[in-house]
Amino acid sequence: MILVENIKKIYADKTVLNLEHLEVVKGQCVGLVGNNGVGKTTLFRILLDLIPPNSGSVAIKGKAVGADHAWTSFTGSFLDEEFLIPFLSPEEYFDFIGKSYGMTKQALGAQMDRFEIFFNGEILNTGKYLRDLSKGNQKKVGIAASLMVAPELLVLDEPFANLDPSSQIRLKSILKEENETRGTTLFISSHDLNHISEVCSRIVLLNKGVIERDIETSSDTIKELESFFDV
Amino acid sequence: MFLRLLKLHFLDIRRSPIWQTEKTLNIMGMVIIALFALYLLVLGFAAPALFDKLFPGMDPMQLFNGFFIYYLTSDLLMRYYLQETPHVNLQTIQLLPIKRRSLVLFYESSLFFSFFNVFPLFLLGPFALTTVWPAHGLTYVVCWLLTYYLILLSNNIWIFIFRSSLAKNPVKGLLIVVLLVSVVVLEKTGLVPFAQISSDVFKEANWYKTALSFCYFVLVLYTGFQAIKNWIKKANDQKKTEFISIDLFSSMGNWGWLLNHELRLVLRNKRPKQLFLLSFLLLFYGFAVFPKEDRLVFELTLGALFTTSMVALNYLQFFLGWDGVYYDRVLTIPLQLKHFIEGKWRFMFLLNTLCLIVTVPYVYYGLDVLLAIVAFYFLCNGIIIPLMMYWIPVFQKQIDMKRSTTFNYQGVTGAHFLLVLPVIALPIVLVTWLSSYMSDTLVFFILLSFGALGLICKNMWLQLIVNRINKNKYKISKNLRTK
Repeated sequence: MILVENIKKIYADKTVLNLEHLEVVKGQCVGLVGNNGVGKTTLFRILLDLIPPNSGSVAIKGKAVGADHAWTSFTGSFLDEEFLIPFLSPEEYFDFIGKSYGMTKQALGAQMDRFEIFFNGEILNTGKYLRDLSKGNQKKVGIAASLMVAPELLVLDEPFANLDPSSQIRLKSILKEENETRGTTLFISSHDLNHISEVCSRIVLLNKGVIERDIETSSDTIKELESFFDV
Repeated sequence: MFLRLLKLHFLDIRRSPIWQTEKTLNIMGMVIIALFALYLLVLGFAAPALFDKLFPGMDPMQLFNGFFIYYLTSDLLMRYYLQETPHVNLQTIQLLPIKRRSLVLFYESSLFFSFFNVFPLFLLGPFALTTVWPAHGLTYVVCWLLTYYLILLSNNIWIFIFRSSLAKNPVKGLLIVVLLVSVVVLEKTGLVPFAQISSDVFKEANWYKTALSFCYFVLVLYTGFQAIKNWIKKANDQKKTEFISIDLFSSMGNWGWLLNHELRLVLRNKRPKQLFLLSFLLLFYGFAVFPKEDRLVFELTLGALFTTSMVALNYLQFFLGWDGVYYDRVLTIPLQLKHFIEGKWRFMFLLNTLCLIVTVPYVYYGLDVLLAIVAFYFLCNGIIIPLMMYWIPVFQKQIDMKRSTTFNYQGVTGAHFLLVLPVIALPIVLVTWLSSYMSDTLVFFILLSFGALGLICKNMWLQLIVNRINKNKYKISKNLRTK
């Protein structure tokens, strides 16, 4: 599904990302972990063609992301609040996203029902603009919008941050279900080692822009990760 | 504490990213302000000679007193549309153990740090020096100056009171315009002789009148104090903006949702909304040039351009900049760029059509006026709009839509100033040049044909625009992440 080859990103003479090879196969759930500033978001931004790498290539389904815009039609993503449209209500935002994916009103309605528990009655029909929602609720809207387009590939940057404990647990269920029942490929980053180990079958650990470890999740994963971060 | 708060306010202004990053533009802004002050200064010194020429044999003091009511109303109007309410982060300050009274006083004081409070002195000062002092002496001139200045200074507070009570409904903001127009109409029709009343009221300056004027100022200050107190209280009670449903274009099929999106962007954000209101005022510019019997083709062109195109052009000067805050979203969904751009073009087209409908009554001043307006309607839609869409995205920055549009250079780059050349100067030069070879009617027909041809070639234009945006996509998206 994703193939990253020899990408390098340099900011002000400092190499922030230097990946020789990273492949994510279809249906896999990959978690990206690492301390602040190791290049997680930069990798996502390159993957979503928001910034160009200084060298190397990124392809989704065999096509270079920079050359072909087709990946957008089967990719759902939410990186930060700049993926939200602040002057729209949640319903209007879902409608905007749905329309761009060619979804009908009925299909959109059905998808919204799916997130009823996750929304916890705080998102729909509240008469609020996205800019007036709490950080946590804004995140819920962004994640739901990326999921409701039935993506083949889902890219989320720190989806558990800002969410209350109940919503974190619900989100874990949603992501697992999405991966197991729909076969969606997940590529998510998080600082929460417990959550990411629980959701993902593979963990990629970034350190200073390079892949430090690439491990299959097992019962020892948490210990292994904690020993790495315990400095 | 009060002084500390003021110091914080100055640091906030001085260290703002806009001040730091847009130094050239800020200097240009200062130059414009200095020019305006100079203009008032010259007017103040030249007023006696000007009055003598326009109203020979009449007392300049009496005339000045008579005109004061107009100056007062214009000052109010100008402040309403141009003076920015101080941007003070009250939310943070309120977390500190500061008395509410000090906070209100601090905010009220910060209202006075505006060039609009200094401008009147540039007009009143020279007039007082050259005319009032020689005729009446020092005591009189002090009383005269203080009386006028305190009244003008009160406008500063009135604007806050108006804004805090009327801001929720932008249409109500037009009340100030209605007020000014009413003053002019009532004066012209002789129903209420405002000039005479103003002249009589301010005829004799003395300490009593100055004291009265001071009492008025204190009363307005007190009213302002109460208004600010309520405003802070309301801001705490209700931080969320009221939701307004906008689905005007929903029935317009494949384009409806994009047109709705543009309208929501305009009406739900302070800066584009203000820009639109200010631009709509230009529709009245026609009254300044069209009624003239001996109007020049240059004036006709300017009138037609301002009335039919300025709303769209003002909006388009920040094309994509308005979308900067969520441009990453646009790039990561399967929204065809061509469709997105065409949606914006169609929105502009609808706006221009609305402006055309509103300006058609100018035909009362002649068929040539109507022809000029229609010609610029087509030229704007078919040539100027796509030209701007082609030129501007590469230089665009993210627009902070929460801030006022006046004296706000955030997001403005040198390219915006250069844009004036092809967009405004070129059509005017072209019309003036062509009209020396052929009749004005023929010239406007040529412009109309150019515009119509541009509209026929819409797909070609769109492809050109899309190609340019795609070619510079990383540069554009990087710029749009920058405020």
